[in-house]
Amino acid sequence: MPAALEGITVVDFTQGHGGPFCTMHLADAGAEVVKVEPPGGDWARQIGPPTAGGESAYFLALNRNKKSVELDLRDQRGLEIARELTRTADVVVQNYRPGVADELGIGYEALSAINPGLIYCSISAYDSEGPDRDLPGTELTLQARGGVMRTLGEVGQPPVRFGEDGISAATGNYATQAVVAALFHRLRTGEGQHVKVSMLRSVMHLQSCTFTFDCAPDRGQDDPRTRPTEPNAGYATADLPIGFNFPFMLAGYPADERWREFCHRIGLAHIADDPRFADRFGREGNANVLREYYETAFAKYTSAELSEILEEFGALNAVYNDFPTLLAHPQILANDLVIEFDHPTAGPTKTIGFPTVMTETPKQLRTPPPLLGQHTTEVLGNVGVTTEELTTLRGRGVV
Amino acid sequence: MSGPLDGIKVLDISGGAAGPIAASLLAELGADVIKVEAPWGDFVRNRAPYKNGVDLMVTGFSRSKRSLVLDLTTDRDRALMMQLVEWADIFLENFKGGTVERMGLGYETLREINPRIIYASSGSYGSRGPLRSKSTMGNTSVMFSGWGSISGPSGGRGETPRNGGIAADPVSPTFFTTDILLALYHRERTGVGQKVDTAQILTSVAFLQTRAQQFFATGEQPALRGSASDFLVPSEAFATADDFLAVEAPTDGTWRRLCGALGVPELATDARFASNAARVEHRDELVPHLAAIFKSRPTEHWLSALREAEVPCARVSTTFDDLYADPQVRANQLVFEMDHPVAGPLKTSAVPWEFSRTPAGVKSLGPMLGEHSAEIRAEFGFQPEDERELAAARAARLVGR
Repeated sequence: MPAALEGITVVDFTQGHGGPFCTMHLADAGAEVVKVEPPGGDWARQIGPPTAGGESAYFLALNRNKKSVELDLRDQRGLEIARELTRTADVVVQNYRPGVADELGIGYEALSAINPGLIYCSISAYDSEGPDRDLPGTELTLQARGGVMRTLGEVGQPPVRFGEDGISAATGNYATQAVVAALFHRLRTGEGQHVKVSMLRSVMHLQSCTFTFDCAPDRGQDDPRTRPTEPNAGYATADLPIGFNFPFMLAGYPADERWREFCHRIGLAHIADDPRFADRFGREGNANVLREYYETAFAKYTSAELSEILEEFGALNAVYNDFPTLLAHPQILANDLVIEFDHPTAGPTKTIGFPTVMTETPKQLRTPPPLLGQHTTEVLGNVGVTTEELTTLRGRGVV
Repeated sequence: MSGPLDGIKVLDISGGAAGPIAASLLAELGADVIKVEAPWGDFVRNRAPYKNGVDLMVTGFSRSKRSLVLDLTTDRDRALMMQLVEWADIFLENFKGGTVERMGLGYETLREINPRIIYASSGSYGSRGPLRSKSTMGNTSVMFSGWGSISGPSGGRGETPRNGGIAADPVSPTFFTTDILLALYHRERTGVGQKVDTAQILTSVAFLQTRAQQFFATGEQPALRGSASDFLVPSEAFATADDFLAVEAPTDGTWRRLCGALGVPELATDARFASNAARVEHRDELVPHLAAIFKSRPTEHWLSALREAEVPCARVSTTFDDLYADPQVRANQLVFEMDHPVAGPLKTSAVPWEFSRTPAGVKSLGPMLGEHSAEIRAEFGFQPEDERELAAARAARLVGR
């Protein structure tokens, strides 16, 4: 079957998480991605432990289906080779700090001058304008400044981070959208362009609707940690915690009556008529009190048993899976979300695959994440670097 | 100038959050998106918060679209629906498994009417497996998908972000909309449409790509460490004399600059801390040392010292007002006000991308129920009297209930 981006070539100057996640999506969709790494490699190769076969797990997660070239762009010949690679490329992606790509000579202006149809994607931390646009920014600093940490932990306690590099991942995804949309435009008009995304822009977009909700007259407390909600750590059971909601969306649904039935069913008859819990607002507002009652009752059930009872009552529910349960879960495996590549040093390695089924252009695992410089000879040979020159460049530490 | 999807037409029958946000992204890339709603509206319209009687959920989730009310129990509206299917480049739905088939809007049916259509489905647990019929929404998706096991204070049992933080509903479209765009690109090259079928549980797991890889490498559940990273040191929010400061050193170069800025250059040359792997191994010796230094001065002092040294650092924002006042948010207009015809000025965010040649942007806040029904019906050749007739029929049905 054809790949969606069959024949598209990408020169990838990114390191870390967001940029490599973007170019991995492009590679998964069939593009040929050449990852140009500085001497010593993408800094993500140094993240960890954990490692597998001497390679950082963090790096392994984000770089399948790509080719790696190790190239020093601070060397004049190294830069010439990089520019030659981009001359015929369809897409260039970079996540240097603002201005650095221009200084290096691989900015949009320089590269579009030799390749007018080029789609050039810049990924930054703090966006295009403003006093801090040149500041270095990373996942943690964006989580802190961008409002993510205020939704975890408790007031008066130290901050808590979101455990995945989620802003980086979302930024990589939005970058992929921008690149594919720009490719679509180019297909229709022949025009290339410069597209930009940033981590700050991404985290604001992820929270977009909450800004609108915040305009309601009953805005309430400003710090989300002070708002009464369902416990965000789930309810303890005999095994894994469980979370649930009664459906709220069905107009006229006798939710309060069903809740009382639910209390009788799980051995909480004594609170069924407690006025504090008479309606949804009472139950939400007193969630902390209710939680203790629930957990006393739920201790008699496993999460699976409790899930069945909740289904009977039409309550959306889910077990709080940990990784050992989740990544061996029959549901996850049945949808082929766990795939495996054979890495030169790490050997057969499981990884997360593709969450979407595409009937005509399925994404594919073709090659494992590359070793540093694994494809230098092949890729540079294609742009006219001879074996002799390669030896010289190796001697000088340029490749 | 117009967006990269100028001229592309999207028929969006999804409700809730994840499907509508995915379609809204297409709208803001330039597509003409018609949100089709039943006479009682997208179910989230029944959910607080409201302002001046306007539900703020659809206002936020369905930006830049037009709303058309269709009563699919009437022949007339079914006919219009089929006209819309012929009109559309992309059809987007997120009903529970089997529902679209019962509505006569399954993929096989629609591709007979419109062979080039891209049929985009945003489901729950995936189309195969024992839980394929189970439903989910944003908060249950993150519970199932392991999010609650990777965040939290050390020693706790883990937690998911509260409403308002990183959530499954906006995350899922970061994957789904990309795949719809890939299908659109493929169709433009080959003329062939396809079905693009995602599931919120699966996108929520795929969002944890790096943590899952670390699990595959070790077989162990990642440890909870509050604000600290399990695999990068230093990377945490340190207490200062007056508040907190988030500091992260992703490279050894950054680490050395941090040591200089903190006045402890000897740490930079200490072999125990020379590489990230060494710092991870010796974190219990290193972190208390750094914590004592940060505790000695206020956040403002460290912000200026670390910025000078080009070390990534930031205050911890705890309120909406902190975000609205952030000079970068303001300079780039990442949150701004738009006027709603009934609710008045409302805040919303910028689009997540910038295009130099095909500008993308927010066209409008989400529509009120049926706000564009008359306009769209007219575009499809319905006469005004039909409209009155329909309104009367609908009113009669509602009264009859």
